[in-house]
Amino acid sequence: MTATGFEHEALLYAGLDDFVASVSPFVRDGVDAGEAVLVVVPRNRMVALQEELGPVSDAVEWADMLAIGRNPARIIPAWSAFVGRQQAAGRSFRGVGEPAFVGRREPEMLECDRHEALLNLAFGTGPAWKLLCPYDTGALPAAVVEAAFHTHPTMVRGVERSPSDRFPLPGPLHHLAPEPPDGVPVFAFESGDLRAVRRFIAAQASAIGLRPHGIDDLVLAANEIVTNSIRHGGGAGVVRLWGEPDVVVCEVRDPGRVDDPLAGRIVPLAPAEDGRGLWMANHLCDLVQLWSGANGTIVRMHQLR
Amino acid sequence: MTRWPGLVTWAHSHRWLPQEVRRYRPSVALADPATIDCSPGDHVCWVFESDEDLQTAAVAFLDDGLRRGESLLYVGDAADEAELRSQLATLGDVDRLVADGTLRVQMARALYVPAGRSDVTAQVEAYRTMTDEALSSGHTGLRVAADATCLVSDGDQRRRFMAYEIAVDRYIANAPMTAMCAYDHRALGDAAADLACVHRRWRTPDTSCDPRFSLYAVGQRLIITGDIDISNSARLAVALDAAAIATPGTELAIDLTGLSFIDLKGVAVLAEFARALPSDRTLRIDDARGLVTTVANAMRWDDVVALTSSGSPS
Repeated sequence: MTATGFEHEALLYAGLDDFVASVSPFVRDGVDAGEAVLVVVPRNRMVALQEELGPVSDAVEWADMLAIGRNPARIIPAWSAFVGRQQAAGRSFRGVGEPAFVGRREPEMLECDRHEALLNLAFGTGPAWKLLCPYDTGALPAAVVEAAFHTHPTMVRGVERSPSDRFPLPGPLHHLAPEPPDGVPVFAFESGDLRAVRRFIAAQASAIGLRPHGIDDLVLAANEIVTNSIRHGGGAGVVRLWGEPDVVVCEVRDPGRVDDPLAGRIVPLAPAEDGRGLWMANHLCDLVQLWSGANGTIVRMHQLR
Repeated sequence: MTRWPGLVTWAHSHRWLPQEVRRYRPSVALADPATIDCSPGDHVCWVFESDEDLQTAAVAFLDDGLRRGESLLYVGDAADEAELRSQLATLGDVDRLVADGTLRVQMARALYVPAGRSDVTAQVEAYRTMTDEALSSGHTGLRVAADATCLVSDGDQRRRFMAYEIAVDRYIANAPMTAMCAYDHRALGDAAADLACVHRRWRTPDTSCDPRFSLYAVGQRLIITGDIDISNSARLAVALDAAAIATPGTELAIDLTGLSFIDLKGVAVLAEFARALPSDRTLRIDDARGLVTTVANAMRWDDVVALTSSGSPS
């Protein structure tokens, strides 16, 4: 059967054995049809699937979701690169991607949900291909599984496929930003010398317990977001940092608005192009959250301690 | 807060000459005129805000040279040389210093401003001759205080003069010469920062014309220290163009070991500079701290990553 358009399917499974039994036919069908297949799942899932597939796995491209998609905003660029390569080679292709793996923190799960919704936007008007997204119903929070119904037009259980009656989710893609904690220092910036804001970020991150390499990357990322605020976001804003379990969070707020929901997920082609700050933050930080609307823009960068 | 590892890391990738070690220090602001302390090899910038400010700084700087037994040259803008001498009245018996050959004054308009790479060293050769003359007449070296504001009133003149500043810095670094270049903030405004950034040390009357980075020459190497971000990356582009004019040879080597910070735009400026070089010139970036490499990797600018070497600190 020839695929028409982007077929974005959620696979509901329970446990590793069910994962292997449900995903391996999808991969094998692709290889048998001569398609390029890319599987991006956590390493333990990858190993089990390779054992089941045997020699067939040599014809498959594999990537560890923890390496590619620690920050879910890096996953669309990875798929874009794969799609681009196959289109250039004139080859049909399919993929398996498990962004919402067990063990992610709650903000990461929310960003996985956002990533799944943005996949429809990024690839909805492009070439025909299938992307299967496994969800472990036995281990994931119910809200994460429920969210898959809003972001995938088709739900798969074993060999049974059915349309989702809750797709697409009406209204905005994203939830509201939780309030930052009370009592953390706030640094107001405006155009001019950014050394002071960088010193503030480094000092706060260090005091909260971020490792030195993480501080360097966070300062670099936050500097770009602050620069965006100065150039496009009304010229000024505020920065604050706080600690959460396992992470340091750095927030930048400004009165401007980011209109492109895919900002930071499209590969910047040339150094002269604008809009590269979010891309850089996505590749330097373990998680980046963005809320934007009439009241302004909030960007939160998370670094694992 | 100093986060750069300093000479220890850098020593792995470059054999240091003693005079280079002395030269290789982070940019620092110059202090009050009374405490200006410059020694042979120093090439500093003084952005002044009044005639009195200039004269106080120039006299303090030249007086230090007198105590060191140096031959003095004062270059400035005035109606005639007599007026230039009068600007140094507080130095002492100026007429006697001129008469015995210790002090010379020169009109700034007589300085040679280069047109391009072919003649960028013409004024340097003039200083080399004067330094040799100073030594052969029994002085310990040459000390020059120069207000060249009248030569840099427009952007094109400033760019040419920045190339001259870098070329002369390369000479001074290894010569018994000391120089203080003075620029008038009232005439130049924040553009004074363009001229300050091609000196290793500077003093500016306020932060608006603080260049925040410094580009200077050590031998064939170009050293960039300080911070580069949205406030000064455009100035970096201008300084790099000047450095390309001022540097002989086909390979440009830029050392970022003393750089504290560079943002995405700053790395883009380096990338554009490399791409715009004529085909017979190449750029190599010593990026021991990995600042450029981190940005270029995140942005997937493989051609920029290829320009960098990390200096293998082990």
